[in-house]
Amino acid sequence: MYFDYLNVFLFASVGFIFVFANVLIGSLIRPKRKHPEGLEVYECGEEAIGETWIKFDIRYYTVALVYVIFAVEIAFLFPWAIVLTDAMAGTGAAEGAGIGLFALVEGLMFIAILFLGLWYVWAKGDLDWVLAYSSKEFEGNAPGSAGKLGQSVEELKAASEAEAEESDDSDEAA
Amino acid sequence: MEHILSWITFIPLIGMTAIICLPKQSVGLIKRVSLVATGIPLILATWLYFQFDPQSVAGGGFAFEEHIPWIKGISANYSVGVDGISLPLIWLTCILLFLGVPASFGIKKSEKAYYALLLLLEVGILGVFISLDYFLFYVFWEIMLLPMYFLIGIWGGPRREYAAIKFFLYTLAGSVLMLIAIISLRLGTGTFSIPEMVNMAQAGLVVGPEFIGLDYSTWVFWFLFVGFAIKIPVFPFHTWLPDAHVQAPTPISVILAGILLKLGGYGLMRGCFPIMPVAFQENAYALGILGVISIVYGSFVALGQTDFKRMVAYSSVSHMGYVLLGTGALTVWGTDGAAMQMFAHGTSSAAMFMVVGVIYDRAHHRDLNGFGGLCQPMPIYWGLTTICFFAALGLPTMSGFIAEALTLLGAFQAGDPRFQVLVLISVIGIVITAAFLLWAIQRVFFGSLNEKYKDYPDMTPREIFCMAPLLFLCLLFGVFPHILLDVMEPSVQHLVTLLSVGK
Amino acid sequence: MDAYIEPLKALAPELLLTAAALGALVLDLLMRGRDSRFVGYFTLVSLAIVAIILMNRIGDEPTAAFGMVVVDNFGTFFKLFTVASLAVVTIFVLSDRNESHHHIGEYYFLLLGAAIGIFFMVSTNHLLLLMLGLELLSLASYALAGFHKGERKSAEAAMKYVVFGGLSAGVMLYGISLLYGLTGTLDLVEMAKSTGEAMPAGLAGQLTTSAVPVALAMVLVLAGFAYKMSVVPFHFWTPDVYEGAPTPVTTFLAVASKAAGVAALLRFLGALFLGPDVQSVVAEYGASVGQLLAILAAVTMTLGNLSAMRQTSLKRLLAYSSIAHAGYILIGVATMTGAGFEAAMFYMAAYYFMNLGAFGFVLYFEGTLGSDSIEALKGYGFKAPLISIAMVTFLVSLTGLPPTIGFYGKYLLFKEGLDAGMYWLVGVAALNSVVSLFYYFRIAKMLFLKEPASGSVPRQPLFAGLLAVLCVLTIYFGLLPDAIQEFVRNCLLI
Repeated sequence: MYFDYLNVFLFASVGFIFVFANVLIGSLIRPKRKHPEGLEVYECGEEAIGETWIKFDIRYYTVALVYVIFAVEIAFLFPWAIVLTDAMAGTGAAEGAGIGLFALVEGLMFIAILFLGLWYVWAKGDLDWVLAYSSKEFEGNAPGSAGKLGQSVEELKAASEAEAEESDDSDEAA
Repeated sequence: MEHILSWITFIPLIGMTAIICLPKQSVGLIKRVSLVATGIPLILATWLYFQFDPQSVAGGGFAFEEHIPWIKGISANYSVGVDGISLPLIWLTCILLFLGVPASFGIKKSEKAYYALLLLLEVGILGVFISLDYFLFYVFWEIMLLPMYFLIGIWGGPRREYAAIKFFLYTLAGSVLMLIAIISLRLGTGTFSIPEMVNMAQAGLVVGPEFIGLDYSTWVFWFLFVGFAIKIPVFPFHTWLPDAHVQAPTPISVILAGILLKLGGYGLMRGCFPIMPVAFQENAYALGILGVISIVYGSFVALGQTDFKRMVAYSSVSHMGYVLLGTGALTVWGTDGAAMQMFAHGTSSAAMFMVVGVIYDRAHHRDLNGFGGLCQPMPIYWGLTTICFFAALGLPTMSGFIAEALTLLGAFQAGDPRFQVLVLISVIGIVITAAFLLWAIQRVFFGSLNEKYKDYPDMTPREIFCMAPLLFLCLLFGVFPHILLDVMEPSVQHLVTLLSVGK
Repeated sequence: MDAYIEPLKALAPELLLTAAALGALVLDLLMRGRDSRFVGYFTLVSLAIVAIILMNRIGDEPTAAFGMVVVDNFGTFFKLFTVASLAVVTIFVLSDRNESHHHIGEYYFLLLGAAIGIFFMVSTNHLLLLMLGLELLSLASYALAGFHKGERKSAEAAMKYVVFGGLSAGVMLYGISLLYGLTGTLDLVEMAKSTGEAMPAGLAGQLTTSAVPVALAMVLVLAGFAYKMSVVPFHFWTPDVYEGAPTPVTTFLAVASKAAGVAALLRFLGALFLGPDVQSVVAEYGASVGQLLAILAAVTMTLGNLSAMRQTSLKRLLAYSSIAHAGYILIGVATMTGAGFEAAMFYMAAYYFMNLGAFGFVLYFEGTLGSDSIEALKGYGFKAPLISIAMVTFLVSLTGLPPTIGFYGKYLLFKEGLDAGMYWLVGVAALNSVVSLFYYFRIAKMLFLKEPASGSVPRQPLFAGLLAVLCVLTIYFGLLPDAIQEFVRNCLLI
């Protein structure tokens, strides 16, 4: 009875062996010369600076998510659009099914709900690349300091505090 | 009077609702409502006591029964009734709760909550005594715990939190064992009705699976027994009692010693022994031993106490041992004695806690060695205390004497030489009890008067009012025990027949 | 055309709920988030309409729609349960003093979305739709747990929930795929019925030939349910998420989401092992699954109760207590009888009253004192007597003492456990009740046995009224449980 799983097992084993065998062979036959350059991330081009664990701006992810939603929309709507003609006319595969109008309305509702999502994202400001921070922590910030590219929330906070201190100092001096 | 038992039980609930609706500030009104709400049940219970015809329940059965379908899903019924064993205890409950209200007038903290909880406690206690349905019995049994927890926990002494949760945990541990046994009985017999279970037990129809290696009757018997024994309390389940008693405010100690302990003994006679008669017979001697250990151990520990209230608490352990010894002997006299002891101890120990309360209210400590010569400033107190202690140590003409004498005679009569040995051992307990009570009187009232205490006022009329009726009852039933025994006798006889099945 | 419209009628509550969710979102956008309370009122009204439709369905013959959805009384019971708990949660959100009540329209949208997930989860015998419903519920729950984005604890809660949720969804999906591979169907009824002549054989055939893969698949699928119910050893997320999430969300997770897990588990086991056409081999196998569940039940309640004893935060304490309660519910499930399932469902109903009440108290107390530590409760009972008395009632019910509904629920569970011969399990459960008393009454002790600190408590009369109603119902149904028990019995027609 376990025979059915034999090919799965074979497939998996061949995969493992292929990968590890190549790594092993590579390590055996490649020349071993050790230079500091050899340990660099990129051996040619720009020199790497700093850690590899850097924070990406959260906005990349927001936009990526919105993109994914609409990409999935395409994936759903494409087949729907292809068979819609047949469904409306009651020909081809949809013959006698009478699904035409129903399918059309359903598809439109699907699009409508997605557009509602777009509206929501838009209205909540998630499509603005330059964000206007409205939450409490950022109230009173100078408009120019908010939302500089590549700055994390902590940096923004620190920057605004530094500015506030500076202005205090200048007041005293005056 | 139709539904009289329900009226007696639920009038305090009406009183409680009324108190909850009253404003917090009108303390006087709250107290008056509490007096009325405990007074009416007392009048009704007294009337009931003299209406009751003991012969009507001679062959089993109950008086003033009510049967109303309650939870259809599990066919639990609201069925209540009384017989000669429960009726005196119901009366005792009404008396003590009524006296408990004026005894509480000294309490000055959140009176509204206090009296509401006190009335709820009365509902729970009376409910247990009248229930003939095991589910109903269990519900009332547990309802009692909650007010008790708060009464000890909010109005108690310095270590009240510890004492309250200890009381609650002990009792609940017993109750869950009881619950398992009750459910198992329900599955085995198909009914919750206690009389029906008893009838089936007579026919040997209460059967079921074994558990933790014990056969059905044995484990159900012991589960139920432990549940009730914790309440009595029987050695070795007694350790919650001194803490609860010492920390509870005086009126609550009175109710705890006077009635709550009786619930354990009553529960055994109503819901444990008659349902498992065979297991009872097999283990009767073990019960007798436990009873004697409680009697002797309790009195010895009481002898060693310096805290007045702790001493009285341990004397309760000792006195409640007679209940077990008397029933275990399986004779009419012994069981009579046990039932009588419950009532006698209910009055005498309640009075003893009031004695402690009186002195504690004045001196704010309870160290027996700290007093002395109090018979001079407080003669009435001295007199009443002496009567009370004599009642407790079983002086002839006091109800305690009748009860203990009957118990010991009954146990001696049992026809089992081993029980005669037990009786001989328990006599040690009687001697020690006399010793610690008399020694306490000596330490508190005689000797040189401590200057600090020479201006103490004697007992107030309120305090006398709370204590005197109890002492009167001790004397009354000591001289005319038949008032009580006539009521109990037929039911006790029936109980003994039930327990002797197959013997 | 009618062939497509007709099944939609069976889905009316789901469609209405979807419309309500979208409506809530549109409403929020139109209001520009000025006062989100209005969205909350809209949510309440639409929940009421859905509830009325559902009430009218009780007692109807089961119908099917689109080959996957089954509309029956069992599902309707849990849908009503969800709607009822969501309504209370919505009121919680509306009376939450820690919430800004501006720009939070999506709160209601997410709650409704989670409810839609539950609706589909409880009304299908098809594992695929079950999984989809579960995922919809989970996605909405993740977002809800992290709703207070600025708070570290809330963000941490969401993160932990996502990681655990993703893992257990994967595990469950793997189990489902194994079941599909073994039996060639995702429909539970088909799976249990089929005799196993063809290839791939039905469950009955596979049980004799490949017992190990079947056992593996069972364990993996059960793990998914156990995660939703927070049964040990899949409970690790519970305390952190319950503590970090906003309290109304915690309430939702503890009551509605857990009920959904119970419903799905009952449906899974019921359709697979207790159905009318089930092969005898399969039904026997169910008994051994019951034994496994019994062990899980014992471990869960013991661990939950013991961990709860040492907690200092009220929300964490209730989280562990909810783990323990999952253990109690499993007693009824483990019996693998209709009566046992009935007891489990009754306990869910009891759990509704007492847990909503307890979390409502937490919310009230958090809103007035700004902390959920048990220490801060000192003397609260003298400052806010009404809700403190209500809380004591809920605690009594959670401990399982009469005269509350929690006692009756526990009684039924114990009874069915004993009836099924699981004496040891009931013994463990009984001891656990005693342990639980200790920590539940630590709260009661703080409320009433300690002297109050100075300062007064701001009043929220309407919210306190809601808690009082829950308290009265806890006692009322504890004394007269027939109505609920009959309702549960009518709904349990597997």
